[in-house]
Amino acid sequence: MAKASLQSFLLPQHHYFANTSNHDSSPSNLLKLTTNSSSNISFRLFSNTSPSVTTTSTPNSSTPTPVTPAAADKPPSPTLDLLSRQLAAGDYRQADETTRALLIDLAGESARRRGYVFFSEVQFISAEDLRAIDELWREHSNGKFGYSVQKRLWEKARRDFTRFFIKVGWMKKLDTEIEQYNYRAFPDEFVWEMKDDTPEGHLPLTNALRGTQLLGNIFMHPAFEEGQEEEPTEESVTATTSGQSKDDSKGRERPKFMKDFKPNYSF
Amino acid sequence: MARDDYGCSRLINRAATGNPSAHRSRVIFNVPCRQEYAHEFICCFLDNLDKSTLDPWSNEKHSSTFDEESMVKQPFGCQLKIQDTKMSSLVSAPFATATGRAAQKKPTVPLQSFLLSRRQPAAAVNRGRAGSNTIRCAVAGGNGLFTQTKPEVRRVVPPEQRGLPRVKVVYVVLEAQYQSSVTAAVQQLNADARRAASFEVVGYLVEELRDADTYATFCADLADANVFIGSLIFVEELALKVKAAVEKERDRMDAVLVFPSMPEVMRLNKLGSFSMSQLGQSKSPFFQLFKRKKNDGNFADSMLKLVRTLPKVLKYLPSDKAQDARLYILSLQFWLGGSPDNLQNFLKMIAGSYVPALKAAGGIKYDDPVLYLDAGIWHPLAPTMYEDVKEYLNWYDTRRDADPRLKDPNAPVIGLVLQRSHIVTGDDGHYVAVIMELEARGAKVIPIFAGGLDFSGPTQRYLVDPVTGKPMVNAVVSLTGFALVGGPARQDHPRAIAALQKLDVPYIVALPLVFQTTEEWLNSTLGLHPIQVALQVALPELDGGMEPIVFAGRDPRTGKPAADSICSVFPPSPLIAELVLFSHFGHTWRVVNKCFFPLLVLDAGKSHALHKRVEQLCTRAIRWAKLKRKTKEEKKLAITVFSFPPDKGNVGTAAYLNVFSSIYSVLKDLKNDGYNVEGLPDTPEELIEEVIHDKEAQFNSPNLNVAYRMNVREYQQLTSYASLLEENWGKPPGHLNSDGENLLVYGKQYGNIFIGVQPTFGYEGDPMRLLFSKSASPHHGFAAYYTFVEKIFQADAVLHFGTHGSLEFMPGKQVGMSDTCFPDSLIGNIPNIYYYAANNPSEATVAKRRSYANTISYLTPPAENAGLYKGLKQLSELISSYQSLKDSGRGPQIVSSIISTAKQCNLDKDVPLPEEGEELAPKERDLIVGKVYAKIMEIESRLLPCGLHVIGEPPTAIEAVATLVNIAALDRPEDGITSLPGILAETVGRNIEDVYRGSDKGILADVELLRQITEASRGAITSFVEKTTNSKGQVVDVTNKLSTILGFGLSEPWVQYLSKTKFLRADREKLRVLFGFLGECLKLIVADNELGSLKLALEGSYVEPGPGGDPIRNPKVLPTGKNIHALDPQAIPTTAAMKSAKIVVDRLLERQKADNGGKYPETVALVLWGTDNIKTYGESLAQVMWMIGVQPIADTFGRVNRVEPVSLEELGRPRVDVVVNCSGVFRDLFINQMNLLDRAIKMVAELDEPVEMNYVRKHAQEQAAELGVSVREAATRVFSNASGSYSSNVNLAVENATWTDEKQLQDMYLSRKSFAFDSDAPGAGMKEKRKAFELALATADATFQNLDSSEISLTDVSHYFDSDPTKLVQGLRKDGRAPASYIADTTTANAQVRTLSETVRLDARTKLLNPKWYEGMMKSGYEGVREIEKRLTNTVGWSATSGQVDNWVYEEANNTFIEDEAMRKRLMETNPNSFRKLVQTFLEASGRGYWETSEENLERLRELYSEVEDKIEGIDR
Repeated sequence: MAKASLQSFLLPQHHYFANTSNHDSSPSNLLKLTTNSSSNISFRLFSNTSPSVTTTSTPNSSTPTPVTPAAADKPPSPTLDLLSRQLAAGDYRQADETTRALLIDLAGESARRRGYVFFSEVQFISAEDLRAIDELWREHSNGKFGYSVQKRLWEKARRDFTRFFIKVGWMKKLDTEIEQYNYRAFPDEFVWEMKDDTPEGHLPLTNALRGTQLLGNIFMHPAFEEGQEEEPTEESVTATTSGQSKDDSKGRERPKFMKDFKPNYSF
Repeated sequence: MARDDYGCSRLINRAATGNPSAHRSRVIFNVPCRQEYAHEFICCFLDNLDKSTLDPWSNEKHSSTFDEESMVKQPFGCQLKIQDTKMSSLVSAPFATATGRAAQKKPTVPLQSFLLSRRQPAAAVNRGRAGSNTIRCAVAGGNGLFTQTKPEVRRVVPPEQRGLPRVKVVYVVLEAQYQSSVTAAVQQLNADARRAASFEVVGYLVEELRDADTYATFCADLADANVFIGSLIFVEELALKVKAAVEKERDRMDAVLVFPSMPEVMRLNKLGSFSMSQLGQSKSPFFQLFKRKKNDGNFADSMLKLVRTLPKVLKYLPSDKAQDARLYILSLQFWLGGSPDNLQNFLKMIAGSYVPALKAAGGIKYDDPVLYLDAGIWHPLAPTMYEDVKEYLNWYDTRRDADPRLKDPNAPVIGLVLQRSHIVTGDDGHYVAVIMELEARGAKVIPIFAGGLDFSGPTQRYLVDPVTGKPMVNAVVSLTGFALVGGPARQDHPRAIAALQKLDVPYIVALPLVFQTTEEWLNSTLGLHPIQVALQVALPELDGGMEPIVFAGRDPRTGKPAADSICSVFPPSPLIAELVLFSHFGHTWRVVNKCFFPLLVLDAGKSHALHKRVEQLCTRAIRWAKLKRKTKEEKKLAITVFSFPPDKGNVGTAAYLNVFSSIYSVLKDLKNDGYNVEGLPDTPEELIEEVIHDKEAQFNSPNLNVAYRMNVREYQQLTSYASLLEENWGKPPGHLNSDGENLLVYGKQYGNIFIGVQPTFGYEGDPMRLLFSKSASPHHGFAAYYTFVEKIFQADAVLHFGTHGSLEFMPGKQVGMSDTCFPDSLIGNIPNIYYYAANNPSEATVAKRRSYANTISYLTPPAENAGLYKGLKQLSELISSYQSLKDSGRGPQIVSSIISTAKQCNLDKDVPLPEEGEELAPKERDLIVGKVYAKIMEIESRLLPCGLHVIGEPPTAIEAVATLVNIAALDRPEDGITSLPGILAETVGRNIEDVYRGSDKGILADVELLRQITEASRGAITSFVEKTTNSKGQVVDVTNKLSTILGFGLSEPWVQYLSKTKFLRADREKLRVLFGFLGECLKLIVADNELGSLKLALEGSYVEPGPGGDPIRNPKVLPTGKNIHALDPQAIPTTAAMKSAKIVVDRLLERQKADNGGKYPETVALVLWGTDNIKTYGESLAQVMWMIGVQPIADTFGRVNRVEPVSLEELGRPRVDVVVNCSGVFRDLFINQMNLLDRAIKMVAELDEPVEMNYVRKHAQEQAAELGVSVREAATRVFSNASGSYSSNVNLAVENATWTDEKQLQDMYLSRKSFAFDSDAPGAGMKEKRKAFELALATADATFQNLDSSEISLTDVSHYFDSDPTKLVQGLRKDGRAPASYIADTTTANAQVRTLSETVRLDARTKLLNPKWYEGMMKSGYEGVREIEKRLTNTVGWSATSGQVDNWVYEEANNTFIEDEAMRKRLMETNPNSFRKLVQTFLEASGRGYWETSEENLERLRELYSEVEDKIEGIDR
């Protein structure tokens, strides 16, 4: 995949975050962007690279791998509209894929070729687009999912990604003498339905295979600057106080795992 | 380069002709030649390629020239002897082109790949070794228990499709990467609508074939396979299994392709008419040749060029044979190219050409193998790869995405070293993570990659400015985990060091997990897999690599099969895939792989970043880089001193080091150099005063200067792991380093320098914690100290001052720290520089690995001979008069004086003395005198370090004499050096070994001769040293002096000296060689690099690495001021070590037999030390092997991973059982060797031998019955601490006098030391097996330890008694009998086995009671008093653990230090705290019943105690 980066590429017109005052952000805007880009390449990139955005596994890996007909699993082109439909249908799994593909698509031609977003390309994604994605997620999850939800939790974890990963359920506790956490395996160990015990901020997933700078930069994107999304944030807070994060909202009374927290990684 | 090519071209020419005398380098491309030779040639070539891959690890020096004669004659002589000139012309063609000569003349040969290809570093041939080595290791590692995978995950079954021929491929590989590539390739093939065939494929990992079921499946799969592919099958037993299975089907199958593997498997190759059945028939000579003659990487280079070129040559040869051969070579290229595209074409080519149905249909069209750029600069965002750093930087500056910080000319620049295979295969997520992290933190990166394993060239090419010759980076981080040159294969450390010296920046070698999945690593208390530690931690250290931080992991789910199985046993794909990528290197980078394949497969076995570890790595790298950027003036340094054991008298403790004087001299030097050291006092004494305030204050009183008070809130905010400490220490601040409200940081700041006192473990005085401190954590005060240094003082570097502190011994994994490991959390992001005693490489290595220290060695103080004093001196005079007067009739009288004086000196326990007045025959008199004499001489010539070393003050030449005498006493056959005593003995017609033996027996004449030899040695060396020094005693220009001296035979000072002795006829030539060597040593001893190296480190420069150890055995330890490292752990024990071990073991057993009514001991309980085994290259390890009667078998790489039993006949005695107690450091450094020992012992226990001849079996059977386990399990004998824990803590208890009774000490020992290593479950790490430990110890008839170097003896350090189980064994034994205890001393040329009590007496006589020693110590003042007290405390330790200390030792010590008023006053004045401890220790010795003395003595001690107490308290008030 990385070989893509070796090809010469022309940076397509980027949406600098400086331009983000544009308020008529809409799915159509995104659609336009997608159609503008060479869809063939993005298709392929999408189909091949999106899973690499998270840790992957082969659910059926213990059985002989069936031949995959070339075109059979070519997913539809990633658009906001598609994301919206998938979310509306409660298909979080596909929506999650679409989200990552969208992110790659939005980050520019070079990210599309490469198949993943380099942290410094996040600035090229427009605030509208990012917020649109976030809004869809929140809208279809009672405010439980979405980047802005995650960002809030991340801030609460004092921007410590390990704490954050544990909080949103991307890391699991290991059964060792000392308290340790390892990354969850994709996709089996993630929760793909909205249940009571689905951790707040669990979706969408963002890859930590290449470290945390990408996600950090999404959180730091002007799209999620304080105040801008006040209402929805509150919404999501209220929506989840009944959930498992309530003990976390009390400053002093951190859950035990936070107190005894032994930093750890793995994904 | 030209030379290499030339060399090789000659080689091959000759090879082809098979006639060394015929120089046929004249190249005529004579096409219609005898093509049938082509494939024979290839066979031969591959044979050699393969063998050279097998070569690797011997330690011999490389020679860069070929020994043509033997090289050609031996390898090729027989196999190719039929070949003639025509053949030669055929094969020499490519080489001619390779050399560039004659290239243009042969337009038929496509040349561009050659002309354009860059010089290939030691590439592929070396790489092949990776595979083989590791497989061997894996075998050693424990029978497939690491691998639980099945081949089913690698099976691809095409859908049923009528009319299409079906091709079934079965492959066996080592590396995980092939799995994903092959699967992808096959899926793509099957997905192609226009495909000519459908492919079914199933792959096996070599290691899986151990499993019987899997093997059966394998055979079944082969039964209907068309094609078999094998690669890197180097494990012999598995190779044979593969061979057996494939052989049966070989004739039926359409093609069998085996790439570099053992010859047995290679011979299976079959491709049409091409076969390799003759392969390797010429075998051994070539291989032997390679073993003997180390050719360097260039040979491999040239071989590879041949592979690249050959197909192009063969293309023009019409015959089928040549074409088959060509396809074989192309296959190799495809395979080594490794990408799914290449593999697709490979399968198309093979199927189309050899599967009858497809061949008949006209074959399948395929593309040529793809060319890859070999080395260059890669960035994930860059549009291309760069071969020019300027171009890269130009692009970098135009990046639109980059933060302005990256464009700041002052941004730190980090060079990254990457493996090409990761980039080419897209397994680069972890690389990208590091690049992103660094850039996000404001550092520019220059990520370079290379396909070979020699990165020295690329680092020069891409990281050094070609114009100025200056490095373009401020630090280099290798993400490969490999040694810079040679990777896991044949390293060339000198070349690596030379390259790194040119770069002159800090060099960090971080590593991805390769043998374990992330979870396996997290779960493991060992941490990093031992094999990876050996390959990727120990070896890079030899290059000066620092900070083995694990930055990437592997998820079992990411390509479950690959990661799980391969990674746990083998080096993962990238390790080996490099080997594989040597195929074609063009000058342009082409992206071929336009088609993406299903990612589930693609991702198999890929690395992922460990986000916190990446952060740790990157922040640390940037901190190091900043050292290069900051000015001296603004740099902040935190000097950290220790206080160990915790007592005020101990502040600034470090082995052999006068810490405060050293700090003072460092600070003065730094000040002169431009550092801000404001307010530095005028003398070292004032410095101590200011840090400690007043030496007499109690440790915990706030009088130790408080540098900072940290309130709890601040502490918690700045210390992310603070809450983790609460389990052990409660809420902060706690009571240690605390005033109840704040945490206190002790120390003092001078300008930008902070001198701080490292807090202690905190549990030293707490017996319960000592007993149960397995999971202890540092206390809040400890954490606060490092938080202060990093976050408040904001040190640019910390300098830990001297051997050793507590930081690196904090709980955590052994190697490969995780976020939960305390040494890692504590050191945080601060670059760590650590002054460490050169003679302690093992603990230095722990500091290096666990706390990321750049360890800079310092010299131990110059040793002197102990000399004689008081009664011993009288004795020596008496003996001298006896020798002149013995026949005069005064003989008997003198003898009786000798006897009575000897008794006064308490020698009666060492030498059997007759009753006074007893009539003695002259012969008996001689014998008694001889024995006393021998004892006296032994004491006299003992080496002891006098005083303490001060950094920046090397010894004077004259001070170095004793060291040189000892260096001269050892034969060094490898350098052609005969020992001086050996040379001298020869001149009087004696063999020195005989003289030693006679002297040991007490033969008077021999004792006298030995004394004369010793004296003459000293005299000759002194005369030499005097000639090379000036009037101030400094060595001046040894080299020039030497050459002058050596020029004129007669004026040689040693000759002049010896001419006046009885040794005047000594061999001049041998002396000349020896003194030439001694001159070099002298130069090194007096060299002063300690301050210089520190400054280099502080300036962000590279510090040259060097081995640690005993300068006498290994003068390469000198000069000090090097970044100390250990050794390649798999290199021990060496043959030489085994030889010495046999001598020691035989002496030990003989001695025990003699003392024990002619019975061999059934069990010996012994200790393995890390340092000892480093210094002696595994002698004590070898001792254990010889006791149980096994022999280490080095593999073809000279690495020891296997043992074989020695037959009972050869052994000539029963196999002696052992209980092996490994020190925590040994466990960290040599876990593979623990594994080896455990397997050896279990093997011996299972030998079908009579139990009276095999005590291991005998005991194991008994214990098996008692414990209800198998004999194998009962034969558990290799114990140590739990992972991450060190020592039995008996030492801490004794040092702090905080134990109630011996039982408590023994409990500590048992609870801390009863963790066993099990070779049957190596992955499980250390498991507590206390019952087995106790049962084994209960059978011990003897306990045993080794002394490793002259300057460290039993009472110098607390470690020796800490691990002594003598009384413990007595308590466990059913008969309650105390075991004999022995100490081996191989520090001198004449190795000795003494009883423990003999050794304690010897030690007391030469140190504690020796005026020369204690006066030397007193000269060091404050620290000297502490050293005296330490010896006494350690003596009490021996009483406590072994009861082997004689009463007179205490009595004499009391006479010396307490009764002597002047002395006790001096002690009290100089260091009242230590004096108080001394008095207290005397009282304790008496109170615990180890010392019986007069009430008067005790009364005096009590008075003194309250006096000094008052004094201390009084001053306190």
